[in-house]
Amino acid sequence: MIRLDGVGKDFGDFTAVRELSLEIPEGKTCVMVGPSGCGKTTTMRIVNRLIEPTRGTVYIDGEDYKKKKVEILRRDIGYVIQEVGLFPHRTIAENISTTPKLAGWDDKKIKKRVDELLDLVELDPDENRNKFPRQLSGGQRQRVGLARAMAADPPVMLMDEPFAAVDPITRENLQNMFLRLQRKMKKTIVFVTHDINEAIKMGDQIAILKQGELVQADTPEELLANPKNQFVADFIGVDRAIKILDLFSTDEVMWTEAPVIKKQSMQDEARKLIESGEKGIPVIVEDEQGKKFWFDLDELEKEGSLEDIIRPLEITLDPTNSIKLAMARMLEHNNDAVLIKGEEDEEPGILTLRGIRNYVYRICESSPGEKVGK
Amino acid sequence: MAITLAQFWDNLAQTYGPIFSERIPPLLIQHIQLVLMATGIAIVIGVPLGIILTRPALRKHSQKVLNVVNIGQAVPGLALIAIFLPILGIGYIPAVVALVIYGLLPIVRNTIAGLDGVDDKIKEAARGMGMYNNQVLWQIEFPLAFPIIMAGIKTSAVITVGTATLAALIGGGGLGRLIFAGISLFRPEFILAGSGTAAVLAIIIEKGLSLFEKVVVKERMPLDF
Repeated sequence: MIRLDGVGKDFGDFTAVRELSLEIPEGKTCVMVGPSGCGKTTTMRIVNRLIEPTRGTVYIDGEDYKKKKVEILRRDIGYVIQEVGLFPHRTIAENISTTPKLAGWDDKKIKKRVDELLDLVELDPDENRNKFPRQLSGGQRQRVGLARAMAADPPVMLMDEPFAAVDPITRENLQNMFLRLQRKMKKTIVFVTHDINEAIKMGDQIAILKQGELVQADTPEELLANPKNQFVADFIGVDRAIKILDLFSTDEVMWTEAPVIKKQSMQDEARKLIESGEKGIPVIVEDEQGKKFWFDLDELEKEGSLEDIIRPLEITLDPTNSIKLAMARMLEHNNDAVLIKGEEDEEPGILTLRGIRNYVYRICESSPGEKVGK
Repeated sequence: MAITLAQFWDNLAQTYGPIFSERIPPLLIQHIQLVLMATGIAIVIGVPLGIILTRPALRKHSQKVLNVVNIGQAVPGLALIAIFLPILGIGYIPAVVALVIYGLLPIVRNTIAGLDGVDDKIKEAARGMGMYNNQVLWQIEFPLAFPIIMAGIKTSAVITVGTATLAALIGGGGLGRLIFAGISLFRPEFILAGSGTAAVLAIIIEKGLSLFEKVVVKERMPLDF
């Protein structure tokens, strides 16, 4: 766990970071994001004391980090920087073994670790071990930078715009690879970026900074749903509603208690539902073969003819899929609903376009972000 | 035609033969000694000076020191030697002192330029990974600055080969003696022999240092960078 306790940094008259307190739980990724000059990189570099804080201190696992010798402290903090900073005169293997060598590991152990790490970042060890950084592509160098930072298995990692210098496709590959790794490694990570989309994708927690001050630190979901002020709303962007789609899973939005009726007697059962006062809900229709269809009760009231509005439920998704994916499938199939698989013996749920619309609108309304884009 | 050519070679050999076989070898050895000694001392002083001047504590003084070192080269070689005549007298040692001062600048300047030229990102990565300052210097900065420092040493050595001919004026010996003898005696072949040999020596030293650099860096760098 990392706890920043009122840290601040002045460079002469200029205050880069005012007074920042933040707690990053063990095994979580905290993304610091903000416009350039907001103090995010300064804050990150305070954590490994490349910059000495003017005020405040940092506690790592409850211990004041100034008690440790600075070089020793840094060996327990993996460091990935923008444009990688690989040593051009050293081979890939030598680059990766920097920290283990400083820590005094024996050669055999280092050699094994290098191969293991190259595998981990999806580079062929035999092919790349003895190459020099110049001989690799930007994306490959970035992978080596990551491997080098993880070499001595530090519990904490600092990442300063690690994927900024590569093309969008490579960046996405690297992000996904890193998310896969982090799921296994559970490191405590401070990640700096200026890209809000990357922040939302990578972060368990997002800290938005402005002119050396922490404006809001929250989970991505909370941040999108309740931006604290206009600055945060602006920073998240006008497409906040679209970004929300990526963050919530289908089981959070689906109907779990949609009535299921038989196809043979659907006319009667539908009428009964309307008479019992049900409104605005999707209804699942099942035929003898177990094939599923659906219709919207409101639409039935308007159109009157069930035959016209009933549609097959062709798409089935997992409850963990994002609503963005669900929406994409709906658009592809020109259908307003998808079926969501039930867990174990649970009944399946149904996710409708109208449901998504209402859900996103509920999140966005009454928060300052609503004004954005008007 | 062939006969005249043979005669020409004969004349040439008769005129220059004695100079090359008798006069040049001892003077050349003296000259090499002067150059090696002066350049060696200039390296021993210049490289550490350059390193010290790029450390954070002393960086702000680097320009001042460079200005002082610059004077060594701004003053014409002949004047420099003349200045040291009343202070250190004549002979081998005053000649070496003057040559060291003259050859210091390229070494200090290139050492500073080489070390300053190492990408800050790379230094930051090294420090961020927990290297001590001296590890950053010797494992990262120095190897990366090495080609530029070597270029400074080569420049210095080549300059010194030329300037060392002036050592003859204060009894420091070397190929300069042949040149100045030629001037006094109106014997252009002496002048040519002396300066020509010095020129060849300069080329050989330059090539030798380049070879040394290649051997040290060896296959460490498959590509130029």
